[in-house]
Amino acid sequence: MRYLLGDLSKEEKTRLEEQYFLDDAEFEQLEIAEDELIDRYVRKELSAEDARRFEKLLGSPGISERVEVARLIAKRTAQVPQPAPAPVGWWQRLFEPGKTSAFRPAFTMSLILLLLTPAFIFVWMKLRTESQQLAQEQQQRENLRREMEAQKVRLSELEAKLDKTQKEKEEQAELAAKYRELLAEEQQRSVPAVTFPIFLSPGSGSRGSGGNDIPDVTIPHGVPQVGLNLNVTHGGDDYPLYNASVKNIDSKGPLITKTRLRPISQRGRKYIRINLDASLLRAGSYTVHVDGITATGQTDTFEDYFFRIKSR
Amino acid sequence: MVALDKLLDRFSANRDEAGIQYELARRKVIRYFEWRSVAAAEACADETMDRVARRIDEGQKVDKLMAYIFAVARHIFQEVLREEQERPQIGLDDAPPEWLRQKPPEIVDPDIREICFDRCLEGLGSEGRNLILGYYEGEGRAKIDHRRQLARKLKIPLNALRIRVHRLKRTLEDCIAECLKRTAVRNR
Repeated sequence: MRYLLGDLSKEEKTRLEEQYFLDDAEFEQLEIAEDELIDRYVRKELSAEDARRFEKLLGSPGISERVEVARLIAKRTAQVPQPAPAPVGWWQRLFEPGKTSAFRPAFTMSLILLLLTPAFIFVWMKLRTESQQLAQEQQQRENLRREMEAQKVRLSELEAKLDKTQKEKEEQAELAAKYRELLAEEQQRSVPAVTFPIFLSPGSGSRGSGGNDIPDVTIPHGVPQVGLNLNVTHGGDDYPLYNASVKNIDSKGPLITKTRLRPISQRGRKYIRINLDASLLRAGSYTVHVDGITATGQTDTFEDYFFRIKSR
Repeated sequence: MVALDKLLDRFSANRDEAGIQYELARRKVIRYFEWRSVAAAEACADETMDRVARRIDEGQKVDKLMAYIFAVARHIFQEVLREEQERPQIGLDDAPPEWLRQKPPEIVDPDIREICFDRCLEGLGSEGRNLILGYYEGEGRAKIDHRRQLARKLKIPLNALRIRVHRLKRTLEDCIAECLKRTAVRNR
């Protein structure tokens, strides 16, 4: 009501106005305070000074109209039959000396003002505290907002770093795949580690260097593959390629035939290599017939090689 | 209309809700000018809302709408003060801005007002009528005691009773204003 009667400082007025613009409940409370003020004005319950201050607001048609409505309400309530007054205690009698006394309304008014003043002070102090709290909360909100901005920037940096790391990872994976391909190719070319090597020199044959001893070979248990390395050093440069077929002397057809084998140099000698499943080489005697293929494509009988597999 | 549409959108995406919020905001601005003893409070409030709508339409960034409306209202209040201070020095040819030119107040026949009042009071229903008249019954201490009894009877706190009565009173005042407008149009 101090606001409505123009009793607040400029700053207090502005703070209160800001408050009710932002807070609907505060606004409603102020409208209710205006209702009370108008009601007391029409019932002549305001002091002369307060009534004078209030009358400054009557220049507004809106307030004037609300005053007229309040007058009509007061007129109507005056017409409502009043209930019989409740018995008045001695305390009340002390402060209400008589109905006809002129002292009563002024005293009542003073008492009401006296009682209400602490309430107004309390409300004003509460508003002040809440305003300070609001300012603090706004500051906290601002700090949080700044922190969020900083976090967003950091997040963007981390995302960029993650992208870069992922790209590097993809490149590494590609390189690893390529390496594995090369390794697989290399492994296909080289003798597998699980291949049991057998080195054979020419036995009886047109170009044999001699030796009728047939080598005995024991293939270790569990070996899946056998590599026959046939010495073709004495073929020299005459035969760039060779054909070879492996045969068990007891069976009719060859076990395996390989064509167009290119010799591999190893420790100053030349070999052609045939890999075959170890399960094909049961105990028994075997021959390997080798033909040389000249540069012009002609096939000549080259050598025969012999070996014996002992029982495993 | 486009500017007003944009302003309503700022209040709420729901058009009905936006209308309610707009009216509340306008009422706050009217009260602001009334409580600052500005005679042309409604005209100033309309000018405030128009300016806010125009600024938003022009693309002005407005984070807190109500705070912005308050700022514009304060600015207009300063214009009103300046206008009032400068008026004695202004020549007869210099008129205040159109929005500030106060219309002559409607002269309301008190009897017609009373008829509208009775009609609108009945319109509140017996419960509403009894609540308002009961709330304003009595004087001084008796009035305060009576209000406490009323709150106890309704089983609501005293502040809730005040709010309920205030809202009924606003409905009554709006109804009376409408009734007076219709009567004024009829009598022209």
